[in-house]
Amino acid sequence: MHKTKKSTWVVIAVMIAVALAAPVAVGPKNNYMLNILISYCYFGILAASLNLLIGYTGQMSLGHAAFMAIGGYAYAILNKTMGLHFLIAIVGAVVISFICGLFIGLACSKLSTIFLAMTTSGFAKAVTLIIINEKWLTGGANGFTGIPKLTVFGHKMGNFELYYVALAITLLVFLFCYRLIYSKTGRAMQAVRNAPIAAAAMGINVNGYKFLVCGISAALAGLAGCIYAVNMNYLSADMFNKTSITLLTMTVCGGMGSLFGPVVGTLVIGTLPELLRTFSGYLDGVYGVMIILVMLFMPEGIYGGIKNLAGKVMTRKNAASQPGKEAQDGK
Amino acid sequence: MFVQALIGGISQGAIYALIALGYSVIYSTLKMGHFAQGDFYMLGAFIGLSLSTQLGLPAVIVFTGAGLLTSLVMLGLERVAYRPMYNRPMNALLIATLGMQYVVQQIAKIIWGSDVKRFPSMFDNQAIHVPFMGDSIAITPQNLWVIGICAALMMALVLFMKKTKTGIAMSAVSMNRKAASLMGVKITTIITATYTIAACLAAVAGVLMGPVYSVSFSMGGSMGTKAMTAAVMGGFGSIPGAMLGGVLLGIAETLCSLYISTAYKDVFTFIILLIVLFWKPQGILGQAKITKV
Repeated sequence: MHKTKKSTWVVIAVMIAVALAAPVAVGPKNNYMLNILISYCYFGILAASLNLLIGYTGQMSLGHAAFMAIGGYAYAILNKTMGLHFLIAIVGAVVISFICGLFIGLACSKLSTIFLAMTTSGFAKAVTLIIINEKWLTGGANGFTGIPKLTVFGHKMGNFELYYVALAITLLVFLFCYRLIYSKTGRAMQAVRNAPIAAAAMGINVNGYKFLVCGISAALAGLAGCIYAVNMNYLSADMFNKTSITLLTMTVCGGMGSLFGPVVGTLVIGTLPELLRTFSGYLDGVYGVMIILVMLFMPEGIYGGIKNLAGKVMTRKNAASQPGKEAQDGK
Repeated sequence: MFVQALIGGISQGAIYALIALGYSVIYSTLKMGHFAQGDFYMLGAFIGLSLSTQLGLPAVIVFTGAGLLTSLVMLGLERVAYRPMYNRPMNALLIATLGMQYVVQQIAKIIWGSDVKRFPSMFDNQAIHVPFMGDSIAITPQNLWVIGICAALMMALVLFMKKTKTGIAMSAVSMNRKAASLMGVKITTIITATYTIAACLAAVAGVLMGPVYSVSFSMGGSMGTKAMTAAVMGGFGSIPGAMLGGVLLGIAETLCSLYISTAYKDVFTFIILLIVLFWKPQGILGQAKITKV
């Protein structure tokens, strides 16, 4: 059974407290900052879902934004066009993206990770084209306008309330990832990533797990798409073009294969566009350079880098306080 | 109409084949993909555009110049970004090539700006009318040049792989990397050579295609995906497979936009990719791989 250290719990508690206090600190009327805070929520979910795929199963998805788009559009169509309650619409959107993910997984589970990367990037192109061309369903190139805000018991939710709903969903998603990773399924996923042949020899259904993780990851991305749709009240195909690269940078730079990685990545990369507002033309290049630099010098991402550094400092401190222990360990 | 579309399709397919060959060469030596391949196609087109319009050089020099300059850029980027990762887990390199895609796009954006640029045609634009089975088919010299140059380059590549020492060393590395290195083949040099060849082929394809579609910094992505589909279709990692896959994809796509829908051309490519992956994932000419422990 996995045990989380006490210090980790303290860090998590502090982070949640900060997240709860943040909207009060920026003020409930400050829509600009609230939008950024909500964007941390859906990007956090997206990064966590991509992390399940890239970090834990060793599979690559280049078109994760497509699943987000599917989730968002499915929610918008179910809620506005068909007039369903928003809870049913969210469940419907998640199920639809889950099915799409399973379908892509079915095509690629037998093959190496390059093929999944290729198929997902093709899938993203196809989804964009379908959204643009099927005007009657999605509003075409003009986008899908007028997605209603959430209404609970006759009360219309503003961004302030929406942030808490999004935060609650994000925390649930992270709890789900945590439970998943330390379950039998999670261990099987990591076995598939580290040594597929050995995993198969131990009786793990390698293709089955790849297939399943594709679905789960897509479903979570669809959920993030729902939050995005509610927050923006508007969807268009080109909003999702840039998301795939942003998302990949978040997951890769934050740290693949750890639960804290996506959180760090979301906070760092999510803030970057705001800081580099004057250089927004160079943002893609910055992402590209960051991905390459992280892969070259910190393969475990920013989170992994910090952890290694902290570990080194700690051992040095221990070695300084207990001279001779290191020498014994050395032998 | 059908024959006309067929010729257009073959010339389009020859371009796909040229880029797909790059994927195949890289996959056979490294056993991995190179996602920035489409962006070297874009870079080649831009370099060709500058050489042709700003310096006014003749077509032959434009082609060789674009090929060589793009190869040089690839050489530099490979040295800085890829080489330290050859002995690490392959996923790191794969992700780095994704980052490279955006770096190359940014370089092009800084040098040539983000506008769509028109590439003036380098060949005679007068269509040749050929009578065929009762009607007349218009063939543009552009199409003929594309098919001719692509065929010549493919031939050159096959000869290079079969006859030269470097080519044979490449085959050796693709068969067994460890054994090849024990026989004195310098693995890093061979990998660098593969990347350079791939970039050079893509650049020539870019110059060929420039006058047909205009040139812009973001055009590499969709071309890359299509060429990858072509490579998978023919058999990923096989050189004749990439050629066959490219031409077949070009024909299928042109016929689709002729008979079904132009707007859904890219969706059609994706559907072909899915069909291939479900039905014959090793491709038409590829061999099923058996993984040994």
